[in-house]
Amino acid sequence: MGAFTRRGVSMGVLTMLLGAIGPVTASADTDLGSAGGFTYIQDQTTLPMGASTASAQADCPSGTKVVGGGAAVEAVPTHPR
Amino acid sequence: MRLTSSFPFDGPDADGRPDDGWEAQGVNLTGASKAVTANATCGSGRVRYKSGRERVHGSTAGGAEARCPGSMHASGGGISVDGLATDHWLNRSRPFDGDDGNAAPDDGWQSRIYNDGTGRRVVTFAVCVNERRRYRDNSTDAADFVFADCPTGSHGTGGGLSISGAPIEAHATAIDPFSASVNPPDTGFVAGFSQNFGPPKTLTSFAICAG
Repeated sequence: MGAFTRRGVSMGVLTMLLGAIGPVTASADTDLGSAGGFTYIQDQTTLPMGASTASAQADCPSGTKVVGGGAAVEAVPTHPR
Repeated sequence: MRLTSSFPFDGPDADGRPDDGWEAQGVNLTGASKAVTANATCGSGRVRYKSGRERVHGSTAGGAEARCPGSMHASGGGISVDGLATDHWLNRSRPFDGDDGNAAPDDGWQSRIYNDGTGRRVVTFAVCVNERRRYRDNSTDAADFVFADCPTGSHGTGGGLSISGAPIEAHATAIDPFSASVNPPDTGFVAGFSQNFGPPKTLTSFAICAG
């Protein structure tokens, strides 16, 4: 395989890699329940394999406002209680 | 897997305040499909959202700080970073104690990233409330995850994370509310990290609790 062809293959791989980078649409929110006057809302979005980026947005119910939150890109272990 | 942003966002309403929910952004550099999860704690009452901005140059670490107004207390906080997400990672997002004379980290929020790309704008958010919160933290130097539990009968509202050592050497993977039994996930917050290289790190999780 000549240098030009190898470069072409490399550019093709790079193009596919960069094609995977970009926002991914979030799924519907899940209401995880309420306690102590707070409602806990979760949203989850797939992060495809490869060099991909994605965002998720958990929307507070109408009439409430966000007072805190968190995020994860790994499955967290069960609490050791 | 890297967590690249975790912050309160402003939705399509016209108020211009980041009070509508919580956004998470992540990067998957592995060969398997993963997921990014955002968790919002939603409530009522008087809430103020303060922010601090800084520019972080390429191949450096940096962050920003947001302070709550004098009589208010941090209920949560986070960090947003612009630009290509594959080039930076979170290393710290946590409440801090200012010079108010108490020892509680209730005065605002601090963040830190490592930027492996070109210049980035970092925005740190502090979510501030009138009511006093309870602050708990827990550390480990022997695991990738650590749980910070709220006192019995209270409810987690916000969480944070801090990783010791140089920011280039480790990145955050989770600042997530959890439940010890059944939902809702109000027992506390779990922090997760992954080490890139370097000496062992200490991971600290912060839970902010109401009630």
